Amino acid sequence: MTQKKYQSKCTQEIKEKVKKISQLLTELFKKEDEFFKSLKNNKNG
Amino acid sequence: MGESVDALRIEPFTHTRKELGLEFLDPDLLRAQAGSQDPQQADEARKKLLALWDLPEERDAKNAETKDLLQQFEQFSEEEKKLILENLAGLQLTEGCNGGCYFCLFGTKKGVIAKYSFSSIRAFLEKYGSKMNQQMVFYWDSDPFDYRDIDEQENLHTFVDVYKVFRQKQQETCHYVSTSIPRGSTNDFIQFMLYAFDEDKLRQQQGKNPILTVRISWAKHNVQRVEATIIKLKQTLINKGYSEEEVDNFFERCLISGCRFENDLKKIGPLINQHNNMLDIETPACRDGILIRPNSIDTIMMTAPTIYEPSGQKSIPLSPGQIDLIPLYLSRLDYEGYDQNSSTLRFKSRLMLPPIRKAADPNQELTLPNQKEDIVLKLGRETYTLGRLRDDIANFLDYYYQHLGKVTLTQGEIFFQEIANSFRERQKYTQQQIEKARRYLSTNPQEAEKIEYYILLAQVYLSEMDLLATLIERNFFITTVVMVANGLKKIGKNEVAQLPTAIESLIKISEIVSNKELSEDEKRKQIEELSPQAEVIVSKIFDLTNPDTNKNWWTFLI
Repeated sequence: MTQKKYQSKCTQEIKEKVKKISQLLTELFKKEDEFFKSLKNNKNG
Repeated sequence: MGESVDALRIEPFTHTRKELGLEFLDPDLLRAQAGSQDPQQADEARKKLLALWDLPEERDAKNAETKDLLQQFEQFSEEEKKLILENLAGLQLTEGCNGGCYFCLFGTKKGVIAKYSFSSIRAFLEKYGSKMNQQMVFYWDSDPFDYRDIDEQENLHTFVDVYKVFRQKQQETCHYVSTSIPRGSTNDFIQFMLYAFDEDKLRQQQGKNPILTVRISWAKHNVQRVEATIIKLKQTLINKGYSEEEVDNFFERCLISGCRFENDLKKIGPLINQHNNMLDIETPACRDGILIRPNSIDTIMMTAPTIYEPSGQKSIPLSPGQIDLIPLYLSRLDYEGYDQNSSTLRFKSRLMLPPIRKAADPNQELTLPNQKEDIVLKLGRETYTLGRLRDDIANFLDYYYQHLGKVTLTQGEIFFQEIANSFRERQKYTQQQIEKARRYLSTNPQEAEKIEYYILLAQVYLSEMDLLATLIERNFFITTVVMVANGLKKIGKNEVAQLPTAIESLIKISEIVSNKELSEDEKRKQIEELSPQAEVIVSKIFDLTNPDTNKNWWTFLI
């Protein structure tokens, strides 16, 4: 990792990868919330 | 579970107990007070003894159902027995436990419900003890000091008796014991430690290294009992004529302490419903292998701790005739990213956990009979090993500063390249498992929901590692890669929408900071020009709250 003249390496490709992670995580957290909600409902029901 | 492990000292117990506002309790004094003529004093003492020391009869192992270990084991064929012994992860002496740890990975128990007869343990160890995997332990979902059995001659046997028979068969094997010193077991623990002291003293005289490590697991619920027990152990040894220095030396050689307080606890096991970020991929369930326990003989395998498998351990009962379900023994500790003992970075081949292998044929992957269960396990395993790789990156700077002078950033760069290469080699296999899993989605809704969850989980970790590997391959600065890995680890559901801005800002800030052509003022100016929110978001997401670093936190990236 040698020192280079400043030129952003945060390319569109990297931005897309981060965006994808953010989307997947959002979906994953949503699924977990639904899981706990249904678990709670089952217990109450 | 999320513990810090240190050499054992009495002071931290005392200090923590005081901080928690708990009084020092001496069980011998309490017993005397329990017999007091003052009814109030007697009542208070009895209550304290019952809460921390005394065990109700029905919870005591000696009154639990007795099973025959040898009979249980002999059901298997000769070949199966050989493989079970060679790949043995644990021989659990009891079902149930009196530790009362609310965070126990496998759930809290209300006492011991079954145990092996001592005669069957002795017969088993005499016959097979020397053939057992040397890394096996005498506990798993249990505490070894709960073990008690009364034989036909009315003799009481405890863990120290099991250990003595074991030592006859494995004299030079390093053995590991973990305990919370359960209620009803303080005297058994002390008796064991007195034996261990003699064993270690002899070894010291012979110039040999210790062969026993006892870890005391402690938290708020048992700190008073642990403190009082260790003080009593120390006093007992001093009363026997040993010097304080000799006792401390023994503690130093053989005892470690693992404290488990709220902030250290991983949100897995019974705490999984508190989990709201991607921090907790590591679990104390750290082996593939066989677990022999009074109620069954199980195949145990490491996977990711999830809402469906909160312990991070897939466990299935093993029956005779299922030789292909015996896994090849594997300990996670052999696959750590960093080797804390030797201060060296591990080799590439040790970075990622391999898929679970068959003990009967290590070239073949172990496959569960139920295909849907099998694919869930495989995705869980991939998630687990990818998550650990991410954490290896995230933890690198901690390791670097701990071993300053011994580990260089150049070594770190090579290590990161190896991580990226290992991931690229594995990436295709993980993707294949995801594709395979999709074929099972047209199954019943409940099963499909679980498979969908695991596909998503594996995709998250695959994408995270893909990003980190890309940053490494594009020669981003080590500090940037480490910061991004930490961000991915810490991201919670409330911050996930800000992740793209945070990572983009972080990368740009670290690039500006690392530009040696810019003066400090120019760097500050360029960072401020990025976006008024960039620094704030990055600080928040990456949890940079240290008052010393909060202002211009990025300077440490230089």
